[in-house]
Amino acid sequence: VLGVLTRQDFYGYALTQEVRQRLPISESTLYPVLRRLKKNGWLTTYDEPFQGRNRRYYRLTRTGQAQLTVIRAEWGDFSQAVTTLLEGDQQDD
Amino acid sequence: MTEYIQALQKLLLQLTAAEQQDVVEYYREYLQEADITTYEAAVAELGTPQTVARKVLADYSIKMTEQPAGRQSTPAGTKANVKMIWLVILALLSTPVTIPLILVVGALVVAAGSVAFAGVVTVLALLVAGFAGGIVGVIVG
Repeated sequence: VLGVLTRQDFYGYALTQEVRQRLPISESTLYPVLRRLKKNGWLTTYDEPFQGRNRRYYRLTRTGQAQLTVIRAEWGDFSQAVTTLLEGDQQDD
Repeated sequence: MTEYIQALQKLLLQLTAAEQQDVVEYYREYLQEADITTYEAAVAELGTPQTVARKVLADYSIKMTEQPAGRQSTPAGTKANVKMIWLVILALLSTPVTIPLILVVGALVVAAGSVAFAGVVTVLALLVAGFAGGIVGVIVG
């Protein structure tokens, strides 16, 4: 979600569609996720009028951006380790 | 759709008014964006109000009662419960670590005790030996 929000701000429905293009999450899953990210201060919300009602947009904060960098690094290390293990590579082969 | 949202809100009574409002607004907006107007269509898209409520409440780590009305618990009590649940989970998860840790600490204590005991015995033995040696020396001398 943080990664998707680096490109642009999204409102709930569009963000769900965006994530669902990549991962099979259910339509109702994202609310708790967004709530937690907001609680951690990694994203903020603002309302924008659209056809007589409001759309709540989600925007990545600076802290969120920093957190994303940390997550990317951790994921890089982790996925590298798993890949190595799965391939059964051994130094003294 | 209003029916769906109302049903959802009824399942969220354990949350504060502001939290309920936030949840309801999110899903109301979602259904509007998805052009969903009927209760049935909303269920097809999001699942039943129960499913959605369960997901939201699980995130607050609050156990949902099966009654639609749901008991209203005090926020303080709920917070204490949540803390307790986390502590229990933490305790359970950490047993693979804590049990060996306790064993190791216990073993160390026993070992330290043995060393101390051995030291005391040695000192006593030396004293006794010294005395004995002295006495023998006096007698012989």
